[in-house]
Amino acid sequence: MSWLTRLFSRKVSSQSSGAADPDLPPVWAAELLDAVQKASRSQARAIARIEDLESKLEGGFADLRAAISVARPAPGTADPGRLEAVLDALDILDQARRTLSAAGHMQVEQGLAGVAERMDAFLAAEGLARRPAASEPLDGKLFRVVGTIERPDLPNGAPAQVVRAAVSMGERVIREGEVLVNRR
Amino acid sequence: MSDTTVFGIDLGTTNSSISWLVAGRPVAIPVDGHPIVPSIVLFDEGRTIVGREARNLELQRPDATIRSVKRRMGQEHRYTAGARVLAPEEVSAEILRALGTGAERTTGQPVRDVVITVPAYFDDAQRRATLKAGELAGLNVLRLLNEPTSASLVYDHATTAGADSEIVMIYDLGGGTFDVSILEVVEGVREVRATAGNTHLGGDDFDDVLVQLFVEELRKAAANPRDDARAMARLRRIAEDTKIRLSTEVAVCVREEFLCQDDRGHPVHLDVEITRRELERRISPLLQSTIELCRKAVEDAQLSGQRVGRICLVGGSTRIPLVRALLSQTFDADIHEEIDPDLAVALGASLQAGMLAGAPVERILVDVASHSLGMLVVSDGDYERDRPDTFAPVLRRNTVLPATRTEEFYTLYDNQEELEVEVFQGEAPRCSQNTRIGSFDFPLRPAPVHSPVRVEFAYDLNGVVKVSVSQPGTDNAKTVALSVADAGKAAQTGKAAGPLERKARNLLASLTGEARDELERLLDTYLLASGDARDRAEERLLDFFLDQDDAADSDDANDPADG
Repeated sequence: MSWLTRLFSRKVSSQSSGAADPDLPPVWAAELLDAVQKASRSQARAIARIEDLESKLEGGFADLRAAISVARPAPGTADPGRLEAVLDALDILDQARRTLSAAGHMQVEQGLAGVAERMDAFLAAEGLARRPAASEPLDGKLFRVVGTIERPDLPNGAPAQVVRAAVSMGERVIREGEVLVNRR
Repeated sequence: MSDTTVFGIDLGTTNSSISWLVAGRPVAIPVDGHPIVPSIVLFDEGRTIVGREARNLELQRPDATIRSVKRRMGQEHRYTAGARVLAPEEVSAEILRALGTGAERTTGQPVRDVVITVPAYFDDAQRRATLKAGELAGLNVLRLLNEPTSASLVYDHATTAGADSEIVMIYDLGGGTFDVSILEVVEGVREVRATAGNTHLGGDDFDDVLVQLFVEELRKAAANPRDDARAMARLRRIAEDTKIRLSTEVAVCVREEFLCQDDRGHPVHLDVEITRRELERRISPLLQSTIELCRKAVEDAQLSGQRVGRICLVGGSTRIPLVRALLSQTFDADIHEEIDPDLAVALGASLQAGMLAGAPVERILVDVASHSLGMLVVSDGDYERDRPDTFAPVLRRNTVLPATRTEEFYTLYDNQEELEVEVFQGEAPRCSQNTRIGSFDFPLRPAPVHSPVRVEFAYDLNGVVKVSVSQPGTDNAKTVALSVADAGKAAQTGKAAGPLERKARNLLASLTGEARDELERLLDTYLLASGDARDRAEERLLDFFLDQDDAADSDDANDPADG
C-alpha cells in the first residue's frame, strides 16, 4: 500500500494553485488512491478473517481427531452410556446365578440364565458384546484386576472370578471388566 | 493443527497428562482415549506397558509393576521389576515416552519440545532427575515448571485479571496426595512463598470412608464382606461412584443386590441411602487437616499485612462441596474452580510451553456464575433479629455453567404448612445485602419438625435459574423458572481477541527489529482506541499487513530458488 501512497503523495495542494503541472498526479488520483486503499483494506480485513477461520477450523479438526479416539458410537448402534443400567443389571444377574448355583437351586439358576441370554441378545443387536469370562493370559485392556483370592486348582495370577463383565463395541472397549486373580 | 508443536506435561504421582495449544487455548490430549493416564509402569517380558493397562494388571503382576515413582525421584533408590533394575528417572522416562507417543498418535504431530511440571518443593536432585527422565524419553525439556505456578497460570488465563500484586493459594487435593502452595503474583511474575502438604491423603481415603459405611450397614444383616474379595471390589466401585454423585446430589440410594452372603449362607443385598451430610460428617476430620495445612502454609509465607486474595482449586477431590465450604469459612478469598481440576496443571504447562515458543495465547472462555445463588433461610442468629436474613448459597460464584446444584434444608415446625422460597444473588451472608431474584410459595405436606426439603438450582447459559423444591419421600414438588438480572453468567474473562488482533500477534512472533516495534505500537493503539480513533487505528494496522504482504511477495520474487 505504501508504494501507492508515495506515488500520489504530492497530489492535491499543488494542483489548487493554477495550471496543471505535468509532473504531478492528475485530479482523479486522490479518488483512485482512496478507492484502492479502501479495496485493499477490505481485502486485508477479509484475509485476516479467513486466516482466523482457517485456524479455528484446524483447531476444530484437532478437537475432532481427539474426540474420535474417545468413545463414540458407530452409526446405527446404541449409545453405551444409555445402556449402563442394563449392563449393571446383567452383572447382578450373573451374581444371583452364582449364588443360586452354589446353594443348589439349579432350576432357578437355569431360568435366570435364559433371561440373561435374552438380554445379551438384545445388547448384541445394539452392537455391544458382553464378555463375562476372562481368558488367560489376561487382557489388561479389557479387564482390570481388582483383587486376589486363593484357588489351589489354578496357576498363580490366573483369572479366578469375574466381578463385572467387560463390554466392547467392535474393537473398542466400552467398559472395562473387573476380575479377581488367583494368588497363592 | 496446533499453534505450536510444543507440549505441556503434568507428570503426577498418581496420574499424568499432556496438553497443547489449539487456536491459542490449552487443550488436553487423549492418550488411548483418555486425557488422564495412570502413572503406572509394568515391565512385562519383552514389552513395557504404561497407563491404564498397567494399572489393570498391577494386582496380577505386583513384582513387575511400579507406581508412585515420583516419590522416589532424585533418590539412589533402585526398582526391581521382573529381571530389570531401574532408577526412578528411567521409570519416569517410560511414562513420558508413553505420553509423547500417545499424543503423537492423537495429534499427528511429533512430540519433542515440552514443559514438565514438578512440585514446588522438589529439590535440585529431584529436578535434575526429572530433566534426566525427559532426556531418556527423547524429549527436549524447555523448562521445569512448578505445579502451583502452572495451575495459577491457567487460572489467570481463565479469570478476570486481579490486582497487579496479589497472594494466591493453590489448593491441590488429588487421588492420593494433598499440596497447598502460597504464591505471590506481582505483575505476572509468580513466586512460591510457601508450601505444605500430606503425601498420603486424597480421594482414595474418602472412598475408604464410604466402604466402611457400607460394611457397617452389611454387618447389620450378619454379613462380613471383608472376607469376600469380590464383594469388596464391588463396594470400592460403588463407593467411588457414590462419592462422585454426592458432589452434586444431597442423597444417593445405593442398591446392590446379591452382594455377599450372611453367616447362614443366605444372599445379602445392600440397600441404603447415603446423604451428603453423612459423608461430610465422616470425612470432615480429613478435610479439616487440609485446612490446618493451609493455615500453616499461610503462616510460613509470612505475608506481613497481605492476605490471600484468591484460592484456585486443583485435583479431582476438590469437587467435594465441603472442600469449598471449609475454605470459604476459613479464608476471606475469592474461590475459583473454572478449570477442570484434573487437568489444570497440564493445561498451565502447555500455556507456558506456548509462551516460550512465542505462540499467541488466548484467554480461556468459560461461562461461570458471576455471583452465588441461594435462598433465604432461618439460622440461629436470626432469632435476635426482627425477621430472618440468613443467605444460604446453593450454587456458588464461579461455578462453570450450565450447572445444577442441590441442597437440603429442614422445616421449622411440626406440620409446617408452607415454605416461602426467596431466591437471592450475592456473596454477603445476609440476604438484605444481596440482590433479590424472586420468590414463590411451596405448600408442604404434614411432617414433623426438621423434616428435609430439597432445593435444586439449575442455572443455564441464558441466565435462567430453575428452582425445584421437593419433599423427599413424597411426590410433592414444584419448579419455578426465574430470570437472573445480570444474565448470570459473567463471562468471565473479558473480551476475546478478534481476527485482526490474532493476526497481529501471530505476525509479531515472526518479526524482528523496527517492523516488530512498529507493529507492537500499532497493535497497542488499536487495542486502546475506541470510536473513530479505533477505525483509524484499524486502517493503519491493515495497511501494515498489506505492506508485509508486499514485502513477502517481493522477497519471493527475488529468491533465486524460485527461479
